[in-house]
Amino acid sequence: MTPEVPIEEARWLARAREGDERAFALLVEAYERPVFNLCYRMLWDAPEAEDAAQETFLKAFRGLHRHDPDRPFRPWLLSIASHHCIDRLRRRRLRQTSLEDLQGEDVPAAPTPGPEATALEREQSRRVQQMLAGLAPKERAAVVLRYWYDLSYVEIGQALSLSESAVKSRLHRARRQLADLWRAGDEKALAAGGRQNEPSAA
Amino acid sequence: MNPQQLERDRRELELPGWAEAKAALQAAPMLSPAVGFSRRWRLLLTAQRARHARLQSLWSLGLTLGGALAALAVWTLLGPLGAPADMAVELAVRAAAWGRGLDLLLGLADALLGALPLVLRALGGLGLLFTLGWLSALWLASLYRLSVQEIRNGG
Repeated sequence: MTPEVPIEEARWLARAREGDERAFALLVEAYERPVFNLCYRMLWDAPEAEDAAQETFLKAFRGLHRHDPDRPFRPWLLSIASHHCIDRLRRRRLRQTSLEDLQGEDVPAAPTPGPEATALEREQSRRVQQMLAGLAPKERAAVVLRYWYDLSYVEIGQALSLSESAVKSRLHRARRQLADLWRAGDEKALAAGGRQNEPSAA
Repeated sequence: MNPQQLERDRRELELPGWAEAKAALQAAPMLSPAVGFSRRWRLLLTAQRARHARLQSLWSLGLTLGGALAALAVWTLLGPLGAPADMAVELAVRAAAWGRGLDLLLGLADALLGALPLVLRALGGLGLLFTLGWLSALWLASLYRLSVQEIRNGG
C-alpha cells in the first residue's frame, strides 16, 4: 500500500465523518473486497455474505463517530464485519440451519465465478471452506483475520473483543483442529460440499 | 516473541497436516462481491433513511395520539372536580364555614365567661380548652383501644 493511500483515506474519513455519503462510498469501494471476503469466509454463502458486507458498511457509516481517527480504519471495519458475521452465525444456529442445509441451496448467479476460477481452485476453495466450517465462529474469525489479513494478535483481540492470550489460545486450538481436518481429509464430505456459485477471485 | 511462544510455534509447525492446511488457507484467493457493490450500498442507505424517516413520522404520530388520549383520560378522571376556578370558590366557601364555626365557638365562650373579670375569663378559657383537649384525648384513647388494638389483636 502506498503512503498516499492512507492520506487519501484519512481525507475520505474526515469528509464521511461530516456526513458526506459520497466520501464514504469511496471507502466502500476501497474495502468492499476485504469485507466481502471476510463475510464469505465466515458465512460460506454468497448472498448472505453480500448482505452482511452491506450491513457492515451501513453500521460503519452510522458509527463512524466512534472510530478513533488515530487508529487504522481497516481493522476497525473488519472488527464490525467479524462481529456481524458471528451474530449471524449464532442466529443461524438458533434457526437450526446447518451449513449442510446451505450447501443444498441454489446460490443466485451473482457473484459469478471468474474465468480463472479453475476446477482445481474451486476444489481447493471448497476444502478450505470445509475446514473453516468445522471451527467455532470466533475461532473461524480469528483464523480468517490472521491468515488472510495478517492482523496481529492484539488487533485480532481488539476486533473480537478478546484478550491477546485468549486469541493465542483460540488460534492454537483452531490450528490443531484445522490440521486434524486436513489430515482426516474426508473426501466424501468434501465431494458433497459443492458450492455451485462461488464468488469470483479478482 | 518469548521462547515459550517460539517453542509452541515450532511444535505447531510440526503438527502433521498443519503446514498443508496453512498453505491452503493462504493460497485461497481474496474473493470479490458482484460488480456494483458500492452502488447497491448507496441504494440501501437511501432505502434505510427513507424507512427511518417513515418510522420517525409513525412514532411522532403515535406519540401525539397517545398524548392526546392520555390528556383526555386525565380530563375525564378530573372532570367531576370541576374547573380550577370552581375549586378555588369551593375552598373559599369551606374556609368561610370554618371561620363561622370558630366564631360560634368564641361566641359561646364569651356567653359563658363574658361576665367574669379578665383574669378569670382567661383562666376559664384555658380550662375550657384543657377540658376539650382531655375529652378529645379520652375519645381517641377509647377509639384506639376499641378499634385499632382490637383489630391488631385479631379481634
